[in-house]
Amino acid sequence: MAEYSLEVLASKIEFDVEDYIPLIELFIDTTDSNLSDISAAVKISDKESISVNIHNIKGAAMNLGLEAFTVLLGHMSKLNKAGSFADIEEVVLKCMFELNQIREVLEKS
Amino acid sequence: MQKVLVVDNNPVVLQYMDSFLSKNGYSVKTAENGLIALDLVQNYIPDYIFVDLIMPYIKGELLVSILRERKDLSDTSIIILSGVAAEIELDYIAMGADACIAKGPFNSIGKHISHTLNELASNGNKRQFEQVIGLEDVFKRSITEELMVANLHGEVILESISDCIIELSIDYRIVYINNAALNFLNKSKKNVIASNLFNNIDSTWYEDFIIFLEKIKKGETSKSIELSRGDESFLITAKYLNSTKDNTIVLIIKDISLQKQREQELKNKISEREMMIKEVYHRVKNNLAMVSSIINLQVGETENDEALRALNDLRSRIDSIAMVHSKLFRGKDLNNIHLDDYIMDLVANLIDSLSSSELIIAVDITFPEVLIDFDKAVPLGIIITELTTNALKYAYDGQTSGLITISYRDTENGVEIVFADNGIGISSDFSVEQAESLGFNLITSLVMQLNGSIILENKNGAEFTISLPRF
Repeated sequence: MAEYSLEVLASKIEFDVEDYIPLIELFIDTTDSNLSDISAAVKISDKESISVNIHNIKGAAMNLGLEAFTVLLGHMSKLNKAGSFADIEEVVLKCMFELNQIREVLEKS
Repeated sequence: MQKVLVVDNNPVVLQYMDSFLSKNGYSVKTAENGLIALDLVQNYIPDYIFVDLIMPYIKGELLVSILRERKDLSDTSIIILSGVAAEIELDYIAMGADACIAKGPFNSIGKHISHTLNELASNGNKRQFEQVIGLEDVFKRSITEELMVANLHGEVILESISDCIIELSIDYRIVYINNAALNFLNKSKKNVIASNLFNNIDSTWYEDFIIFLEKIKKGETSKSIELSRGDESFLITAKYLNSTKDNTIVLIIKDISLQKQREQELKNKISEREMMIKEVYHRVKNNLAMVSSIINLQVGETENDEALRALNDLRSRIDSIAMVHSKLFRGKDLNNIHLDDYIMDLVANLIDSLSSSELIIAVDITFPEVLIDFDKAVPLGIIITELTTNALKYAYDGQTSGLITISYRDTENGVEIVFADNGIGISSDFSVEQAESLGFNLITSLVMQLNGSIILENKNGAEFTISLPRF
């Protein structure tokens, strides 16, 4: 579980907080949607759809310096490759938890 | 002000690029997929185009090659901006791009973009970068590699199969097309990608195709249609790929001309065979009619009553067999005849030829529509002939009118045909099985041949119940 601070996150990619906020808000919205798509794809064992959605989250997470997400997504990708769909759902929940942490930090700012 | 187009399906990247490039003095337009990008460049000639590689609809690689072939974009620099660059080796120059920047954290991306744009601007947008820029800021991972390899395998297969594969957006624009489909449409990839399917197919297909595609979009079960083009026939199947966004329709067009041609050849051969069989039935019927006529001539020359009866009986039996051949020759079915129709005609003919002006016989035949094959129709016809002949000869001795009833019913184990007359009945000590006449011998042996049984009862006349296995 990562501890989030907007100042720390923004400084990681040399952004001002006010420039960082609209991007992280957009990230939360799109990642919510991607994680839902992964959950739906897990139910029908759709490896390709899971890969595409992992790729989508991964790109934006790296752009925004969200390393915890990158690690979780790397793990999810390995599970997908091995066909361990039941375990992917657990990692999706961890990602949602991380996302909520960031959301709470945003709401407090 | 220099113009930039950014094509990326990730809204976070689009927003960042818009903000970053605008702040640096560029006029920016963004597109979330290749279709929108191709629409934009119809009226907007950017100085720089940034293209992501993994996108819905049209993949980045294909988009770059289409953009590169556009003469009006010859001065435009195309820069691939993709995380894939950190995972697999990309020959972006072969794709038609001038530079490739690996996606990393935004601060690094910003620096690399500024550097790249400055370098390009100072070289009149003509410089090609030989190495992927920004790899040092991205740690190697293999999240997308698997996806890329799977896609590559899939594409190699799709490009080499003989069936045409076309993927459409929901507004019927072509977002993927394989080599077989390009040959089918006789067009090049750059001319068909992003164009509407209906601008590329035969206009005679429009109506059927639009109805078919609308059904597919509604999830209806009719998933294939057959369409023709000249002498060629095609089977078109479709699959609606439904995701939360970017829904597409995949069309598979299979050339079935050869299959159709073979089907027609087979139909012609079957038709020829049917004609030949009918001809055989016709000839057998004519030969039996000739035999019947010869017997008739013999009847005219015979004075002995017993011989006359024998000749007439023989003629009736031959006529009943000839009638089966006649019905098979005239009917549509080469193996089966309608039993109800056959029995009616058979009994009517017998009564016509055997009854006299002193004896009026009515017939009540209650038969459902039953089909019976040739092998069963002939013996059953002879049985009915014998029973009718027998009734006409012996049941109405001294009477002037009578009624013959023939009925059919299904039973638990098969079927029953009941033949009844309202004549004088048969002596109680008479047994069908032990009768010595040729007629009853024929009846018992033919019932046995049909795996059936026959029972005689006196019920206001004679009543024969023939039990048979189901036809």
